[in-house]
Amino acid sequence: MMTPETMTPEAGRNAVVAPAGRLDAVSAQGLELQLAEALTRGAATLIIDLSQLTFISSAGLRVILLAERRAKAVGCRIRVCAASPLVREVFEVSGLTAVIRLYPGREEAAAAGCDASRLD
Amino acid sequence: MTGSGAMREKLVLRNDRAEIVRLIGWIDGIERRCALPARTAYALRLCLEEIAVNFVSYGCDPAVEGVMEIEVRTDRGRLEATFRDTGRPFDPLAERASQPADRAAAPASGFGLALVRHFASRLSYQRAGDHNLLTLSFE
Repeated sequence: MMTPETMTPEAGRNAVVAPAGRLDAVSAQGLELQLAEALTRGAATLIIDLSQLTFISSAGLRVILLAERRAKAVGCRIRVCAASPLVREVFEVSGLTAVIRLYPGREEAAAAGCDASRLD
Repeated sequence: MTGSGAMREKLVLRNDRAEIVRLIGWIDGIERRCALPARTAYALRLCLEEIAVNFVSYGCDPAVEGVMEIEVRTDRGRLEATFRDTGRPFDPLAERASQPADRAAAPASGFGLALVRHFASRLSYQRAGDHNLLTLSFE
């Protein structure tokens, strides 16, 4: 079961959501609600930090892809970072890395969010 | 594959999304009882979830009660999962998986089949009477 995510506004500009444990067909809805709430707060960049995530299935991918599309609609950038090798592999096999870039860590994700030349 | 010899675990699911909670608990039990390597455990959990979710969501006419029997077994170092269900004919080997180039505009779904094909080392399917029979093997 996924443990509660943390959501921390950073310098009033970035928001961070860090799901932990497993993101599966049961727990994905919780993250969907967290991301939807984060997008209503007007952050310029929403960082999804996967460093504490041990498992993701297609249900989790779907939630992240939907958040990326909703973020674009409200002028927010989504940055996904710190995926473990297996979680990264799931992103790659599904083809999501063609749409969502994976950053090594939170610092790189935040830096990319501030640099317009690196936006997707 | 495991340090404790042969293992055989069975679960029967109805075509109800609430059944996925029971599936997850069942997988947790298998992981506790079997010392699977990390990648194998990940692949097994992922494939069990993807196949079962597909069945409870799309496998049957919602007005009809459907059943999926899942068996996970190890023997002589081989790990296999067999899915036998009463849903409409569905051959995952014949279905087209979504391609990466499609993703920017594609619906935010349809990832599961590609994941199963990648994480299972071997898949076999047959339509046996009015049942689908799918077997996955894992290295």
